[in-house]
Amino acid sequence: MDYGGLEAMFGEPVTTSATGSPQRAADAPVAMEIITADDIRRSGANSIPEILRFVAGVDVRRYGVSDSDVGIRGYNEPNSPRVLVLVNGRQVYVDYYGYTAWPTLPVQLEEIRQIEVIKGPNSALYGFNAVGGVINIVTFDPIFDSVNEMTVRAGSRGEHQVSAVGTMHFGDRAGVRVSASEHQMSEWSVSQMPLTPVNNGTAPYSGQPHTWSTYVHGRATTRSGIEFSAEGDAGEAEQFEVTIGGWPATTSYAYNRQKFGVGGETPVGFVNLSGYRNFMRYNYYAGFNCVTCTSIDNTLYVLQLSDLMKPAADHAVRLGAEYRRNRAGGTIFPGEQIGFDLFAADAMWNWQITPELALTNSGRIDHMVTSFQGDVDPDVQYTASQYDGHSFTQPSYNSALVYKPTAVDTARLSTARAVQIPNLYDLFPEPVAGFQNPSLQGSPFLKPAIIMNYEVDYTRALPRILSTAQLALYHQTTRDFLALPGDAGMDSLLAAPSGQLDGSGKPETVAYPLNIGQSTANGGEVSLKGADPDGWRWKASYAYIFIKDHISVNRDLSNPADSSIDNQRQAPRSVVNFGLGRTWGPWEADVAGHWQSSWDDILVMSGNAANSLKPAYRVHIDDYLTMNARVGYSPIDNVTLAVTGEQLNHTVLRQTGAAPSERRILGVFTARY
Amino acid sequence: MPAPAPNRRIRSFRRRWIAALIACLLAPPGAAAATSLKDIQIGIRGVEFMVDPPRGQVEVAIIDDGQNKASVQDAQSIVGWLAAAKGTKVEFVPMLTDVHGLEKAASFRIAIIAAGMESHFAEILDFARRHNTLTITADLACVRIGACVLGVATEPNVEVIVSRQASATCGVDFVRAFRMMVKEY
Repeated sequence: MDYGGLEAMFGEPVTTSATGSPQRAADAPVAMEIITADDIRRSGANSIPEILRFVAGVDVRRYGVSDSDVGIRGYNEPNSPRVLVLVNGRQVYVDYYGYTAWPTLPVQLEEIRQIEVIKGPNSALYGFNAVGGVINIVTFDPIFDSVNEMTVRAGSRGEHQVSAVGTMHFGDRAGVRVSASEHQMSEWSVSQMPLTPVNNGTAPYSGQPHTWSTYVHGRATTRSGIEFSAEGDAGEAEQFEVTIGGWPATTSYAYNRQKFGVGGETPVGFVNLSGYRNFMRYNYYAGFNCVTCTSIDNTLYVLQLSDLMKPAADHAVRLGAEYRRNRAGGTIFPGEQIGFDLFAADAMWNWQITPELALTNSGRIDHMVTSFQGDVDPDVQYTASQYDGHSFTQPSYNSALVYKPTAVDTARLSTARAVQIPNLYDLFPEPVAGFQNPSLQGSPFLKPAIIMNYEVDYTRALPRILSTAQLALYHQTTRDFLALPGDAGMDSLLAAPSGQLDGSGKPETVAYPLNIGQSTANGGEVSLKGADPDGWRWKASYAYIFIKDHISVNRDLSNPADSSIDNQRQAPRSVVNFGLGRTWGPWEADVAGHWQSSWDDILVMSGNAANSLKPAYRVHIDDYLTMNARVGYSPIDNVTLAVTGEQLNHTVLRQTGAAPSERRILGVFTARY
Repeated sequence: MPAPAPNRRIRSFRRRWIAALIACLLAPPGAAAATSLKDIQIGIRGVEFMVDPPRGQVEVAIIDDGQNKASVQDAQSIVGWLAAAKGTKVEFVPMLTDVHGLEKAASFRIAIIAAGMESHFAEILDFARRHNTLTITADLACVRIGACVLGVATEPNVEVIVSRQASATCGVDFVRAFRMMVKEY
């Protein structure tokens, strides 16, 4: 799809993320924010989470210099599972632990056309786990766009990054874009974590986080309109990370992914067939009682078929089917393999009832069957046959009315049902005997969490002040909330002695995940964004969320070891973002601020747990304001020099319960050719 | 979408033609506003989204009513803007074409309809049907009654509409993504 041509024609960003059908952003039946390539450049950020931090309703926890977790509308946590992240519609969310490892995203910031942030559930299009929101990273098109750029970043604490993007066109119907990057950083001072020592007195990480990546994206079309596409990426990353449940660890990743697609006009609409394979190897050198530091290999195969048609002037329909095969093994699973097979069917119907009023309904049904091959330790209460072949079937839907009474007003009324499945870690046994104590075992009978969302949105263009204002109000409930044995401090709730001894001869405790009740979130976002012909631009937003848990099991919230699911205190209630910038001649200058109210983080203090319970700790994070800025200068057309700063108003800042973040200053040289 | 069967196409064309004729009879002359530069800039972008779009130098008919001064002035403005337009893949060569001579006019793949043509929608549709012409106009009424293919309004917001009937009658098709994004009539 020629995003650039359509955007130039309609005068606003174009998206397919909301319904699977191309739409003007203003017509999308969801609350959505689109971050453009210009926004990305002017932000001065050198990671996607740092860009997302300034989006109303998005919560970014930076646990390390390269480790971030992104939540949308609350419920953020280490290895945040509720936000589905895609690159050109291809999942980069990792099913094993159910999260997004941001350093393993292969795209360079320079090759991103736009980042589309959908706030609220969108399972009806994307399936399981698109429950808090969806982030779709759309790159420039190899046929229609030409990105040829080299960027060098270097700055504080020895950080340096080199990246390059090149595009080759073959006539006007085929093109290939290639990018590569190498990035090294110095970790924040992990010894400054609130409770030390971790890992028996040894800080869990003393190295230099680093990444390298390559990404190739090619597309071709025939004269008759048949489209072919291929993408592939590979890379490695290593970082300090707070992993699932708040466990500090050193993690390294090696990954490669491939995708192929073909599509074309048929008598029944535009039919698209695509398939992709994601391979990820994780190596965990965890800061807990690690007998054998382990690797996990997770391979995902996805096959998708869709048909997009407009059978009548006022009706658009999209039909889809999907098959997923996910398998995990590795040294943590000697001789074993876990995973699932998933079959899904979905449909979207958009009805333009009148020129002012449109109704969009999407529905999807997912049927997932677990797969387990191997033996189960005797301390586990479930059998191998119970872990294998267990199935879920769950429907999800999104429905929205979009009303545009005038040329400047858009109102949306929407509701959605979404499904969050437990990750593989929580569905299957952890088969290495004595790997850790407590032994964290999955439960095949864990139910998916069901998320319901009810929302009113209103957008108004304000031509007199050259701005657009947006308001969103929502009510969200999560039923069968998932409490996982990996969650910090849930042991006293979930664990029980197994009657066995662990690898070091101590009595072993086994913990299982549970569905522990309901949680409700009420909130809203209001924002204003604008620009004038003199080069000024401005934005401001305020987000509020109030979460109330209704946990159906008894626990003592004053005890950190019993309170990791404490969502109302684990999300800042109020967040303010603002920015001001100007372009004049060869200069660009931008400043952005982010203030958030206080919240509590709960992490695991790792070590030999003599009492067989993971010692969790709660850290109160005070409210804080952090400021970023960038100044750019282009002495000639093809060269830009810039200085960017993150957290300029603090040398160090406690943003989470892990190490405090440190000020970052970078010089950036960009050459376009 | 499959092409309509010949009989259906003929019946459909008759209905469009009759509607266009009625619109012509009812329309006050010179009712439509003048075309703007932005209308033209947006409208010609629609060419890029045709299935098998033209490439290189493309002659474009600027159809006006030679007996209507406002229409002629509008057409001359369009000619100037189009001559200066820098298309990425297409160079447009504007050719002033009087609606009263359409029957003998040469074939054009693209035509832009100047303002003040309300009473000539039927001739425009007939011309476009014979030459498989994409007709672009800032007069949305021409599209809504099925006489023109592509309509553009740019104030206060960009609005792009397409007539499915005129599109089918004239044998002009657009890529799927574009059709999904426009309002069709």
